[in-house]
Amino acid sequence: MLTRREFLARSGLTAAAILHPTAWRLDAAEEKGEDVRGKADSCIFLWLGGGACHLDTWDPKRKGDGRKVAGSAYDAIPTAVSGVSVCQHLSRTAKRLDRCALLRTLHHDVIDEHAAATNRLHTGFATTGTLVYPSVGSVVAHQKGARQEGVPAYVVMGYPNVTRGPGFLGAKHGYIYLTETDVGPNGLVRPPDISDARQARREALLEKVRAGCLEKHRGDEPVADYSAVGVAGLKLAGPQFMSAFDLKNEPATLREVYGGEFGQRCLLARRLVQSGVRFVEVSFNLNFVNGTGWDTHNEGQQKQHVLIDQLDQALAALIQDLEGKKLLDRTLIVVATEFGRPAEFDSGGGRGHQSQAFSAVLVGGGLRTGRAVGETDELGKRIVSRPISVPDFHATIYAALGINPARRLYDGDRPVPITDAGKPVSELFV
Amino acid sequence: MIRTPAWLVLFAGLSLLPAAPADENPVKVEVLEGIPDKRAWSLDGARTTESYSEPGFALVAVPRKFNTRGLILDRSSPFVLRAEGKIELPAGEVRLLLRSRNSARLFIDGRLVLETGFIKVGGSHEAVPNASIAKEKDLAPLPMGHQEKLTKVRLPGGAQTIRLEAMVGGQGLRPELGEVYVGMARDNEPFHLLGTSVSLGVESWDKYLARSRSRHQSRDRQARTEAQTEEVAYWQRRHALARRELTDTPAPVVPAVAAGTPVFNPIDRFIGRKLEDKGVASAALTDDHTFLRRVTLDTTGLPPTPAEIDAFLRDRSADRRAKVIDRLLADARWADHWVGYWQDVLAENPGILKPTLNNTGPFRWWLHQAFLDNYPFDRFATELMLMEGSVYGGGPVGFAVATQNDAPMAAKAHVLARAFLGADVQCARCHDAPHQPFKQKDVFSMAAMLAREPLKVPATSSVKMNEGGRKPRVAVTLQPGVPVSPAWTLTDLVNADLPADVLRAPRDSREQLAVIFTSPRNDRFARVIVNRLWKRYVGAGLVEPVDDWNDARASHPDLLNTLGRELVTHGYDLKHVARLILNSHCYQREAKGDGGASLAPENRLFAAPARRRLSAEQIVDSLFAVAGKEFGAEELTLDPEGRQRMSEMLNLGTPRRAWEFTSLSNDRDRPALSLPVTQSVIDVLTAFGWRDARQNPLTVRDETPTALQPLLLANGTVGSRITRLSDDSALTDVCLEDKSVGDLTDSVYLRVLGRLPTAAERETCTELLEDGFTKRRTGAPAPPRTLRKRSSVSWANHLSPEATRIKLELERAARAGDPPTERLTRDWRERMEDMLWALVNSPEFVFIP
Repeated sequence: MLTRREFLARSGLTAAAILHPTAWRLDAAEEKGEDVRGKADSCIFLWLGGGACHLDTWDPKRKGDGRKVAGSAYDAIPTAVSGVSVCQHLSRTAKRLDRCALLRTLHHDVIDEHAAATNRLHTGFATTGTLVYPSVGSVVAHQKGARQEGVPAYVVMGYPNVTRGPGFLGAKHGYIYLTETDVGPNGLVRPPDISDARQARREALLEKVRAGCLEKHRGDEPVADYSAVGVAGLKLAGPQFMSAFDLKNEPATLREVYGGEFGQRCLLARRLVQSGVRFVEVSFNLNFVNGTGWDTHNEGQQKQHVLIDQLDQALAALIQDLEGKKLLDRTLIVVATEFGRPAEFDSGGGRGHQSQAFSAVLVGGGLRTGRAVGETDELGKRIVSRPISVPDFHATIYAALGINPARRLYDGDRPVPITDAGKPVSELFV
Repeated sequence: MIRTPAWLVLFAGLSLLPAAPADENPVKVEVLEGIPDKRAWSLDGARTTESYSEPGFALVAVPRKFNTRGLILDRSSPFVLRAEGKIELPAGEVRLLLRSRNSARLFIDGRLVLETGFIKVGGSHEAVPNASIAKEKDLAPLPMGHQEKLTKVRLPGGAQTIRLEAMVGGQGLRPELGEVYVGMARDNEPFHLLGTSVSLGVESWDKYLARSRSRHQSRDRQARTEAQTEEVAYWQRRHALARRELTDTPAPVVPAVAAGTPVFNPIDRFIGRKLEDKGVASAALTDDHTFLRRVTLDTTGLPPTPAEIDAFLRDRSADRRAKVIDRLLADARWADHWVGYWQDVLAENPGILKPTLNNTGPFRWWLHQAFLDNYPFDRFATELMLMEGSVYGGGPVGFAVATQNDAPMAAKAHVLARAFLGADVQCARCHDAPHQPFKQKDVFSMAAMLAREPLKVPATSSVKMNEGGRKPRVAVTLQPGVPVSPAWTLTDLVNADLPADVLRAPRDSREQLAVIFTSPRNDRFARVIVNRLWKRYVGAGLVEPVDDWNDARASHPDLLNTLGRELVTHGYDLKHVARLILNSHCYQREAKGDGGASLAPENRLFAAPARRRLSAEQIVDSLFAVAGKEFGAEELTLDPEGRQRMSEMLNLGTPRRAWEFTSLSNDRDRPALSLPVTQSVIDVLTAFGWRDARQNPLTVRDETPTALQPLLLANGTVGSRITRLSDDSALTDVCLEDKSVGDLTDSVYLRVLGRLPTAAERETCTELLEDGFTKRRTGAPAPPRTLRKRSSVSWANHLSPEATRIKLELERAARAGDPPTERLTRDWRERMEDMLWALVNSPEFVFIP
């Protein structure tokens, strides 16, 4: 007997379905509840791997001295939202903070290893050994598919990680990835020594070989299905979608506004969203600036302001660019990290890990932005009001994208809630 | 006593080494254990646990230590290797060189001459060391994390006693020896290995290393065989008992079939009878090419070589298929092809960097060994459940590990029940199963048997009642915190009535559980295993799904019972049952569709086996086999220096088969941590259904076609390497051979697709390749083999900007792949590459014929 999932997978197996999967049929009676009012249709998920310090970015507190006196490392500045301040190195984003919602009371209980915390922020669950949970990107890809046919639903700019993967949803809801914006994804980019003429010769030869194979295996579904995705694949790797990766098509001035490689990734994310990709995860990749990236133990802290500045430049540029192209209301930008860092400094002037209170940001996406949700104590150590759990955070993202956060996914026949009892942050919805 | 295998003597005879049997080597080596774990040379309390010999003063492999079950054990950490021998030395001044990873000492006649320092443990913020250029010319480069010391001494001439000591492990480090050796040179002569005339130049040293390590491997095999004599006898007794138990129960009657029904062995009678009853004709027998490709892929995981195809076709005897099956079942690659399957089913999930995502130890090495030795399957299951041996060195105890899992033994109980009993107790891990007869208490009772103590359900592994006002749809009858005693409660599934004298530790609940699973009175075990084999070879199970038998019925209950009995009466030998299936007409018929896997049992007829796609591992292994290339992958570690703690960083070695790869996922997004060639292979594996995380057990992978699969073969780094005619490609050699276009086409088809081209295909190829064919060879000489590039990046220095720069450069080099040969004209080469590309990208390549 096939499981329900296998049955659906087989029955829906056309080339189009592979690239544009439809949501599962759902038992509506079981999933009433949440009122989904989100209007966004795409998501750009900026990942600050390593654990970005909330005190030095979105939740500034009284200043410390980098040694004995605990506190923020930088001055706070006012923003476009009265009563809400951010760190001085976020001056460009501060001017556009009315487009942002600061979530200052995220929390969970994993601190000792980045992978486990990163897994929590991407999947919303702890590992159990009975199933592998899908990442938020894969859930969105699974629920909504790509916005355009013949385009992948989910792209990652960064290294392949289990936590970014599709888990029990299966490989077709996984991502394609790239590690350098000027190279593109492995498999989609034709090798440089293959000219158009050679490619044409190759495809003509393959056409003959494939026809012979299909003739020999007439009526043999598995062969026909694989052959179909082969045809779809060559189309995907064709000029129509691949031109999205060519940043040279953007005005030089705009590329400069976005800044360095992280900015270029954000620009590429916008282009991918425009071409129909549903969910783009962009990892912050400027770790070499300070050695440690956002994981600012010891001397990593010294040049953290350069990271913040690069984030600020790219994020502000992305907000402005999307707004100028009338895409901000339907594109949700998420700025997330696996945990925050404590107000105290370590012996090398850096900071350890802190997961009981830290910040994330949601931008645009048709949300009621221009506010900070949740409050931490005077050194950002504990939550004073309005805690936001990781499942709440995911429920908010799903709701913003029009996905019912009370929905169930299926691992075979087993129902799995899309979030672990998460509730959307209602303040952000009209 | 260690006997040198004949091939080794032959091999040694060709070298510069004296062709002495291994135990007559001049350098005696002792393994000293029980040394205090200090960064100092205090050998108080050291005891010699093993002795062997080496041809020279080089220590590059440590003999494996085995327990009485033949399982790999850890040596005490640290331990010391002490090599000693009296050799003739020249008179006058000589230069001496000592290389090692951890501290080593060289003595001449008791006098300390050279000493290297202890490993600096830990670190991540260091600078990248300078490229490892040897200080002396004609010396192999210094490997990562190694150190060297040089000195000059004046020797009197004549026989002197040399002693070399090397410290291994300690401080929680992995017990990696690295390369420890002493070189000697006179004046400006090049260095040679002390005690031999082996040059220490890169090529000669590499050869010595390979030879020495393979000699150790055969020694280890021998030692393992000797260590487990008693264990083998125990299982022979158990199998005799099993046969006795079974003689009391009636065997199913083999049905009669009509004259026209094809019958190769009794399997075909069970299958044929049902086909006759349903009035369905079976598919035709495959042709010889198809059969050989199918059976070779199914047993070795690789396609047949042109030589294997040729040998098979030349054999005109009536039983040539049976003969080839016997040859393949005896092939060592049988083990390689099984490891990936059990890694999935048993959720082997090692993490090479600070593993926290329900990771296990790397018990892959035990899996491989078990299939290499063709363990009886009841022994396989028992050893796994007893969880002994080395945690990080590959023992089945690695299965016991479940990092950051709140109830590891409950997770293991789930894996075991599913693997060996076809009982899916997944739901009952956290609550009573809604659709199966399993309660959470059943799982925790079993878990407690594994744990050998009462267990409590953690609150995090329970379903909270009334949360959010909604009533959960599942029942929780076991409250968190209540202790559950070790007990077998699933008596409806398997009776706990055990034969006498089987338990070796009768009070040990873990062994009790192993015997409940594997006792001959548990026919469910045997049936589940033979059904797994059937599914693997025929593509659909007699029972579906193979790992969840709760509601399932067998399509052919008598066949299932017969195969189960065959397993038990033949000492639980998987190869015996495999031989039966592979020799059946049922297996050898033309394949189509899903083989009935999706049908109800009464309609599953096996008129034709399923059309199966190659597994991810088969695809990757086949690609590289076709091109005759090595992966060229990096060592699977982020700590090639061996300076980080074993619990945080593993080294899984340099992969030679696809199952050996492991996830590089580390959630850090640091280019300095990338292993680019490895990643390019993992990209292909992952796209085709290999799991980069095996947090849970799985039998049937998700092999849904996706656009990325053909794309990675068409445009990806690996696909390009395979189809490019580079100097290290065997296909380049094929193209350079003196033969006609037609013959070349034939050999390429045989190599890539295991069959000859059709007339139309041959014509297409001739048309494409004829132009410039006679002048395709440029006469350029074959370039020397390029040495693999070693990177100096490791965890200890990966945060430095230089590490990022080096790795980004290596990523670019990996993407560029292997450069094309200059021995073929460019224009002709490109046309040939395009033809290869079309063949590799044909759907035919990724399916079992």
